[in-house]
Amino acid sequence: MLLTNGLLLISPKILQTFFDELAQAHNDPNLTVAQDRILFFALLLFGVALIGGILRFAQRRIIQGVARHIEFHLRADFFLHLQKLSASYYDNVRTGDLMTRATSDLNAIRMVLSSAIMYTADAIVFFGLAFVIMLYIDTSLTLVALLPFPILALIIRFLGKQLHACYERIQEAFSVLNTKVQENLSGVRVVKAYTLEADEIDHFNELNQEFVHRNHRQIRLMSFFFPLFRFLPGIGGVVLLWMGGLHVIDGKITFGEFVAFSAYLMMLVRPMITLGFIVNTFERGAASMKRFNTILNEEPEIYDSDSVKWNKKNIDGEIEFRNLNFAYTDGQQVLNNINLKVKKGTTLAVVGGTGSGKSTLVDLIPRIRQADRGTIFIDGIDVQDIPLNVLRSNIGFVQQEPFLFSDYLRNNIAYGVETPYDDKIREAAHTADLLSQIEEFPDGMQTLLGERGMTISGGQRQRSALARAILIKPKILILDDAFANVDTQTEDTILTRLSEIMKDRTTILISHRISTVKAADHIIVLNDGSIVESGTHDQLLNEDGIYAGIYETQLLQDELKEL
Amino acid sequence: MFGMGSSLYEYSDEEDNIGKVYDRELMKRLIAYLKPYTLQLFVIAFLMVGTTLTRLAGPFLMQIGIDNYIFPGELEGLGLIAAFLVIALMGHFFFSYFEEYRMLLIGQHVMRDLRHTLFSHLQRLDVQYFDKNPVGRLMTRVMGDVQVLNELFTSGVITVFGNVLSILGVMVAMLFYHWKLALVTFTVIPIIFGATLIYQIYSRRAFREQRKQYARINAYLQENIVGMTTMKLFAQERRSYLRFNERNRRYLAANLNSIFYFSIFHPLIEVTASLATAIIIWYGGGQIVQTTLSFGELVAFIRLAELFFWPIRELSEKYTIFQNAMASSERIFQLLDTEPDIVSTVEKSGTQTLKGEIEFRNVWFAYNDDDYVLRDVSFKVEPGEKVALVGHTGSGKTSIINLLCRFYEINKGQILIDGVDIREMNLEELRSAISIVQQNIFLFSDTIERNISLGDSSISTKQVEQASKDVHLDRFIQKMSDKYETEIKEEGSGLSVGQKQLVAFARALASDPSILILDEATSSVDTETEILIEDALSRLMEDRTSVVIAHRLSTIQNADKIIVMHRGEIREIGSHNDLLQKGGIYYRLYQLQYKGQEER
Repeated sequence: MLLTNGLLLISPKILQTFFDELAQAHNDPNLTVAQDRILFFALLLFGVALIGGILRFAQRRIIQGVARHIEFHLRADFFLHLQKLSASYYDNVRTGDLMTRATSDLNAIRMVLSSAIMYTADAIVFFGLAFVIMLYIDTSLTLVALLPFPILALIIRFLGKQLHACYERIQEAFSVLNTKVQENLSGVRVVKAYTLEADEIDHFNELNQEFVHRNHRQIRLMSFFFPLFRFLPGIGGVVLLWMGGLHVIDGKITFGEFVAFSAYLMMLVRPMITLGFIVNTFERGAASMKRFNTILNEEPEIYDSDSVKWNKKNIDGEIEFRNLNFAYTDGQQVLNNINLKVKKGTTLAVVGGTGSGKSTLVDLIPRIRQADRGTIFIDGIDVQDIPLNVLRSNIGFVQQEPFLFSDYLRNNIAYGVETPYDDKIREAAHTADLLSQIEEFPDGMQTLLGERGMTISGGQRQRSALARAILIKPKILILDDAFANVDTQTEDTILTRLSEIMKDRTTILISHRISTVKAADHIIVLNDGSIVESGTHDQLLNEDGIYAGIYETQLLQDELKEL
Repeated sequence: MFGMGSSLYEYSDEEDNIGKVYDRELMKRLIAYLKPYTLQLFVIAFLMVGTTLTRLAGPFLMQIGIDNYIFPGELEGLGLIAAFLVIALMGHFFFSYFEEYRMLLIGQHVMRDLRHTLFSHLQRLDVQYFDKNPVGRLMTRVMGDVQVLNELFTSGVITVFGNVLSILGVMVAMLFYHWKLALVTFTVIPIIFGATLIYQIYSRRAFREQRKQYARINAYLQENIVGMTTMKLFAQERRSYLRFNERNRRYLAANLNSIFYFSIFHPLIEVTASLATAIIIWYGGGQIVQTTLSFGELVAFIRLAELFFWPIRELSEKYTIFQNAMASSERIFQLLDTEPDIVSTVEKSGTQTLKGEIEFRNVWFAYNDDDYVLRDVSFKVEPGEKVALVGHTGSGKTSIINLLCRFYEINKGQILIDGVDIREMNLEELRSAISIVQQNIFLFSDTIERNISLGDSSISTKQVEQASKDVHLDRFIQKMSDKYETEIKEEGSGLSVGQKQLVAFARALASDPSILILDEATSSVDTETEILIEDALSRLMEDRTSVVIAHRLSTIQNADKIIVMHRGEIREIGSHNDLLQKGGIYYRLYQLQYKGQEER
């Protein structure tokens, strides 16, 4: 970089010599400057520029490359960090906002790394070298001509702060806008079904306008900025003409020096203008970096603690809850004093009304949400002392609304295993009673699912998720209302097949249907986060409580059907 | 395996291939967005003339200063020249301030218009389009690509374009000073053009690849943020990260590839500029020796050459942005050129409410090609009738309701509502006459109230509350901290599945439709709530044509008519008792469920 800028600074020196020789020849008729001498100067000038160009090319490549590599690592870190954050974090953030940070903000940061750093370094080195040479030519002229520059620095400082604030506000509005679009696109079916298009466009326009509005101030500052960066160095030009002119007349400097000085000054104008651009980019990048770091600084709530002492690769599957209480971050109490032991190889069924805490209870086992230490144990060991990796790869979990990836069906089923074998995948699909249907698909296992698996039906999604969970051969299988979209006939088939596979494994089953939970070894009834009834199907019927009530109603419904 | 990124978004390759639109076409279309701002553009043009003139005044005054005062050693009048120079500078400052301001403002407004156009266009596109295009990718389009255009405007590339005007001015000035020297200098122009052309051809390819990889990595990121819990449940963090990294690496590779072009172009222009100076010196020096050129003129000439190259240099510096912007606008226009298949051909007829008679006449339908999911389906639903669709998953029930809302276009046959083909109905009127509760309930991150009223101003707060009470949602809302003003988080996380369904019911009820469609709506609510809902449903279905999909037979007991679907065909139609007596598929479905319950 020093070299590049050094070379750039040579050219005015060449010009100076050239003009001095020319001026001498002009004043002294006896001296003539030979044509080849002129050609020599011209070639020298060009040669210097050529070498400078090559160096500049190399310099750009390196700096840009480094910036891209840093961007690469920042993005990777971002993703890694997102992976560490827990479900409770995602309850409160919006995907659109995270995406803005990973795209727009990261871009602004990269701009600082590549352009801004490149230009700043360029400008500083260049400025320094030029300053020294100019001082050497004419000290007083240099000092006066460069007087506007410190003023410029002060203005930059002031405006920079303003810009920074602007950009923070702008990025914020941009995030809101992004979130709006993302949500609209995700909910496109609802939007269409309820013909909300016009309302959505109106709402979007509001946010769009707000975003533009926030840009106004930045525009005002920017458009003041750039002309200023041309104006102040221009004043230097005036000084040069006037004072420099006087110095030439006084013979303090030669005419060639005057020309060289003017060339240097011209050269300083461009870094000055780019400096405006740099300040702008830098402030934008700094505002974005702040937003980006907010995510990276977010402390993960759930992680492998130091107390992890576990050397087995597997677990047996005995689960115990001891005085478990749980509340969401907003303070809403979900579970109260849960005490329960599920022996290895048995089936626990959880029954309860909407919002009774069933899903939360099972979320706590694979530590999707974090319960207090000393409340949940697997094989007698606190779940917090089991490495997350071991814990989760031994638990098969089918959620109420399973998430499938926009990938081949086969890959979705094989999601949890390292090396998927076709026969194992088919076996799992068979257990989930999905195989016969897959075979009816024209592309079979290679059917490409749309986003979130939306191209197959709800029941097919749930069964794909079930197959995915079975395939990892879990020691604990958790079915969180996993058959809600599956008809009872199919459910029956699946449960029969599952009971064989799960013989020595633990199963937790959440369901609304008595027919589903009836055969479980142990049934609990949750109400407002507390276990209100507990026992086998027959015991609970004798208790004549909530469970018996549900049973009665369902029985009545069944009898109705017979009519 | 999963890592095969190419398989994931195969259709994106196809779209990348069509996009061979020429710059000129793109520029033309971009410029069309400037039309509303014609008047302001004239103002800018005027300001630009001012900027150019005041800029040219600099070298001109310099030349006079040198030739008339400095060289001859005249002190008088140099001050005056300096004063003029200050005035010119100030003029330049003001002109360029307003020019810049106006320009940036227009840029912002054009982008706002573009975003608006894109967003509105997306609202028009068919459901089928969204089946095929992940949200992440569309996001990159609406926000990302437009933002790239933002750089085009904010980085001042447009201003540089404006400077083409000043290039012309400089050229005239050069010709005016010394036409021979000017012409000799202009010999470098073909070099610039050649370099630009070559750069353009090669860099475009690199940039297109770059944008493609960018869209891919963002689609992946977006999907994995949404599916984060699943990833954690299967302890797939490491592998998911590896897959992410592979995409990240590809994007990096595409970037590094484009850097080469970015790095070489600017220095090349720089060298060319020096070549011009060298030519001026070589030729101009000779002219001075022959005294056909004054010193001041030569100095002014070198400065003019500097001014000549300045916009070119700037442009070359920002050429990457320009190229990027072109690649982005290509993709933007591609999206805008995607026309929806399903459009209203009919104007709104007025406020007529539909009776709700539905008829399917020999309907054939396939999502792709001729892989039919519905074969020759015919049935009729009288106004106010309650119809239940029954059948295995994948038998075509969901397709029927999708078609009824005209989310997809049928291949053969006719669908009639009140005797009118739905293709001959106004789309908006058709859809607002139908309320649908879908399998997956989508909630907006907004208040509960707005999630029920969906922002429809004709639905009052009272109606929202009444609807909530009717579907027994009110009791849950009363437990929440802000009641109806409670903010629902993204996609309803924080609400149980049952609660979400209740919200969807309230939503359907509040919109008071002629036709109600329920897709497995009663399937995952606990018995207690289900009884409440059944009660609410009977109220909801009163005097309304209803089509209900439910796997559990209990919920269809009350239906007037049951349609049994099997492999895309209607196999049985009739009442519960009729069908049981018939001993067909319905009987089997029923028996299996009942037997299953007894055995356990």
